[in-house]
Amino acid sequence: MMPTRFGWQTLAGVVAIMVPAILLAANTAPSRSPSHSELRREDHRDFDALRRGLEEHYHAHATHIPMQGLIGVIARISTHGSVRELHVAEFDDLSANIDAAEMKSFAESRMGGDWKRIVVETSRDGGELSLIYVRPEGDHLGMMVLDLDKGELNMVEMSMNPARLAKQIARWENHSRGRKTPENAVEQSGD
Amino acid sequence: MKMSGKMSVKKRMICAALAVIGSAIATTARAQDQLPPPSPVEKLLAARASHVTEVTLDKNMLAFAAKFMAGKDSDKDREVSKMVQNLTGVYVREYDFNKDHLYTELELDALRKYMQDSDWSPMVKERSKGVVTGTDVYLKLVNGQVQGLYVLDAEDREIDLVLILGPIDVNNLSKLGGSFGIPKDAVKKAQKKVTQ
Repeated sequence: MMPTRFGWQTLAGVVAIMVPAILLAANTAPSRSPSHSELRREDHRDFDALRRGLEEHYHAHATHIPMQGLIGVIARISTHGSVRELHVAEFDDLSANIDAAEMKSFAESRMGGDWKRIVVETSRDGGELSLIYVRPEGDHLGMMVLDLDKGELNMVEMSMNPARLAKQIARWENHSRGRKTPENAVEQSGD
Repeated sequence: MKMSGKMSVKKRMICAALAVIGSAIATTARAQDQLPPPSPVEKLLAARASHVTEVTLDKNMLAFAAKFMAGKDSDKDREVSKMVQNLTGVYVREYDFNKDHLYTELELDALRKYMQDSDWSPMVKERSKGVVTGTDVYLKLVNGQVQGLYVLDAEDREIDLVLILGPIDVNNLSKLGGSFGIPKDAVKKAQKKVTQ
């Protein structure tokens, strides 16, 4: 069965959107050694293992977030490769009486040993907990954030290049202020 | 054959000696770079506090943070980045309480004593008569250079502990305030007192 004219047009539209996006992602992605890609897979495994562990331990389900992969691709394209990985999970059916200290211990027991906890914020009465873990991933920095607030838990895991991301942010800030930096001046003259 | 055997024993002994010396140097260097384990008093304070913030950054994490700040556009960020790239550790603890003075003088003393060794010198001791609140600043001086700073700032409903390890420019200390969870007031106060 040959696609109809409308079908061809739709297909052409999808290709027209996806091909530049994929090419742009390929061009802007930093060159990676095999060990980096291994690390990336490892990141994802840690995030999934932790999410699944939390689901089992607290008998809860993470809300399905559609098109997670696309979100990651958009993050990578829009930051010119400064953000390499982005995973998000949200639990909104946890008990409000969860012991924050117990959750911290549980999360740490499920994460790989190379994650370092850099920030812990706890409140005694409200069941609030914020945890930030990081680990070096070559020229990138892996960051895992857990934020519990009265029965709602948000998990974010990302891999980013802090120096490049800072430059990118500075460029955006300068663009919005209408100022020229050496980078965006070159970019503008190149255009 | 025998000679070469003897040489190899000698070589092995030299190698072993070098390895021992090397590991001793590495351990000493690591001990100087590493953040100390938390004081037992901190657990007691955390149990009583309504809100606790803990920030712990080692040398590697600070190096990453410095890279991030170096890429930013503001002069302040670049200056902070320069300072941060040489630091070996940042340790911040902030305890907020629901009521006034939910801590004792003895607990504060224990926190002060925790940092007292030959390298650390008390630079500021601010007290008001009849109240436990006050500010203490200790500097770690190595060959006349500031290599560490410890601030203990106790207010009615808040205790801030800030430990910064590595070379510090005391005149620019307040610029670190607000970064890495370092309380602005505590470092501002410390800079003012130390440079007075």
